[in-house]
Amino acid sequence: MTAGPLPFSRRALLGVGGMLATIAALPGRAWALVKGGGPGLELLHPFLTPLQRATLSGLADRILPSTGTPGAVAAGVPEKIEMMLWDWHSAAERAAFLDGLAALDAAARKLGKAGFAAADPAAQDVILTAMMNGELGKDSLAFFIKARDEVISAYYRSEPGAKLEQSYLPVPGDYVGDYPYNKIGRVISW
Amino acid sequence: MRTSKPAASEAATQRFDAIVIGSGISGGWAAKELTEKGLRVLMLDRGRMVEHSVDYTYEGKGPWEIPYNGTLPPSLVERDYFIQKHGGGDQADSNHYYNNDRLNPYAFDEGQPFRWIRPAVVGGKSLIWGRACFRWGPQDFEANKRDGHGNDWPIRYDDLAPWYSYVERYAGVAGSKEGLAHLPDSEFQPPHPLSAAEHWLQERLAATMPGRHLIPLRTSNMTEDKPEQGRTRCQHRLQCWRGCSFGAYFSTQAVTLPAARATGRLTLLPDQVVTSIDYDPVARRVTGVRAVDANTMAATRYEARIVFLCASAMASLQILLNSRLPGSDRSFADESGILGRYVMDHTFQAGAYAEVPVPGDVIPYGRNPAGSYIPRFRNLGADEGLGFVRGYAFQGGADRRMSAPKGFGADMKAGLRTYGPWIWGATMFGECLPYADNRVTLHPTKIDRYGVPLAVFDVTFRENEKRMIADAIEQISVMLKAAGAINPATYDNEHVPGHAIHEMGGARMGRDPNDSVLNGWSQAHAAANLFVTDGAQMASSSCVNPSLTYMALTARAADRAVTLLKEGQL
Repeated sequence: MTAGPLPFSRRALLGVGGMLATIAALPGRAWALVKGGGPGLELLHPFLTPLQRATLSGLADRILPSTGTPGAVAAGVPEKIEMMLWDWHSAAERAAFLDGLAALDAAARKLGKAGFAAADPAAQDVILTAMMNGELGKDSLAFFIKARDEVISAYYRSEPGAKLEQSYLPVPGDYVGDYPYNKIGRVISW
Repeated sequence: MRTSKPAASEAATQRFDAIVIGSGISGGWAAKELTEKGLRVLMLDRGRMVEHSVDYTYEGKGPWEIPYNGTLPPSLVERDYFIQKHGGGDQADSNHYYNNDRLNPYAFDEGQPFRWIRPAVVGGKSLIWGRACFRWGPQDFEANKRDGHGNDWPIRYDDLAPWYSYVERYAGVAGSKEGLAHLPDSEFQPPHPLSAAEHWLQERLAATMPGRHLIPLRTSNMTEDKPEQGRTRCQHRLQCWRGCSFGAYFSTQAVTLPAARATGRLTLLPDQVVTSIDYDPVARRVTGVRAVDANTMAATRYEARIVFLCASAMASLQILLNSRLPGSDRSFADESGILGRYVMDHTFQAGAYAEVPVPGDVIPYGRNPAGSYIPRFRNLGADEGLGFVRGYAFQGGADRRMSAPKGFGADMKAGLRTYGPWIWGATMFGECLPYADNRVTLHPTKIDRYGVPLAVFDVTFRENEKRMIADAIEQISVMLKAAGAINPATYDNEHVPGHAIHEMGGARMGRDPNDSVLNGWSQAHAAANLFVTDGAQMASSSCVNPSLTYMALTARAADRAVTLLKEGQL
């Protein structure tokens, strides 16, 4: 199979038009989640201390920083993770995550910083690297992997992550099974 | 439309030509065919109403609009969806279509589970099914007679072939003409394209292992519009399970319900939990359908000249078993003593995956709702002496996803803009033999909140299925290695009956009323005005996905029922 036809056929566009008209006709409640969020979408039960929240924010920013596109903090990732920690994870998983945040903060203070959140990005990266290399206690690597997974999962499912960092195709129209990557240059979001 | 509660009591006073119990794939077809042939039909469903398009809550939503990053909290899942999670009931974008397991219990012996995946909405599994559409082959209808397992089917492929064509033309099936005798071609729309990885595998498999075909999966996701039905071809969003306003795949909401409603002869009552069917042993007819309102618990009895039982295979068995003769523990439909026996499901928790070295940096644009299929290749002629009878097929697909993260920070972010390798994976679907001791009964003491005795499952896979699984794992590995796929890996997870959501049998067809519940027209031996056209009627299981066969059998039975009605025989 060759690259195939352009995936924007006239019929597909007609289909999209019909789809958009349908959505426009939906009653208001169908859009409620977009505006007001709700369980699983917004932070309804803030529970982190200011220090924990700042540490989480610093961590998320260093894992997925702003580059040419928004980073994790601009995408609301710390709030999403705080929501998931309370609403989704078990008490044991939540405690382990908070221990990890505390370990980051303690490591920063050992380096003479006023905490992980207060440290400069270079120092934060040194600490995160130590965490990744398993040098900050027995749970060091496990916490790094867990934290990175949470940040990645929340970021690429966020609106800026899906639309700006990735390419968002809500109604692809056609399926082309051998589309040249360099025509898009990024990953198509789900 | 009559969907309000006063309509239930109103409907109870009306005389309908037919009652259709259930609104899934079979029930929807029954309602469409019977109303289009002039009958006034009452359709009852235990689930709540889901209207096409307007009730598809998460359709078209971006990932940022789906709660909990897509999966419901484990604490909620373990409380309320501990069975449904095995069929997608833990997914935040579609959980609202599924049964609440805590509120709808059933029973099985400890250590011998059965996974009963059930929707809780009008439309039933037609909203959340896998959409694969395959005709059975001639060998499937002959298998029981050939190897002696189960009873001989009272029909053959030729009896059903015109009805396959009939439902395919209306529903829309995408696929490729392959000319395989054991997997007859449907009336196809063009297939969905294979991915680069599937083309690669297809060519190499053809070159290295003749007879092992890799073909596009046959699916009800249309590739051509049906403007006369208000349906648009698949847009490759692959969010089918949220509901599809394009009506691109077959569902009750998109296809059969609009057709039935258009006749003006359909009354649809959701939230009506059918508990039993009344029977007159002298006239040998069913005389009424008893139901409980899921919200008010009000009991109602409905009457009609004929009844189509399409509640989904296991639910239909539960209703039949609970329809007892006066003064007896026995169901009126169990004159043979086999009602509830010969329950089957496919084995499917075994398969393989591998990296496919596709040249060039090409990616999937859009999301393929179909994928690929390796049709059955075992025991097609004579028994090949493999230690098992019958066969299996593989369903699979290929995808490229975001690269795995390395490190953190801007470099990782840049790396995540690229794709990982093409991965092709497939799972087997293996035929399960009909065993008399694989059965569903009613619990002697426990009842559900509607007063119906709990269904009790005693279903296991046995030696033939286990040997077939072992062969499937070996063969998929052989094929992937022969093709030159990279790092092929196999898996063999726990095989729990029900998990394939192809549960069927228990009220099988047959020629002899002494060893079957239904005749070759899906019509009860005990009651000529009762038709059971969902999976309960199956006398064997083939290895292909069953829904298309239920559609064809239902349309055929509806035609027969109306003919008999017009002839004054019902």
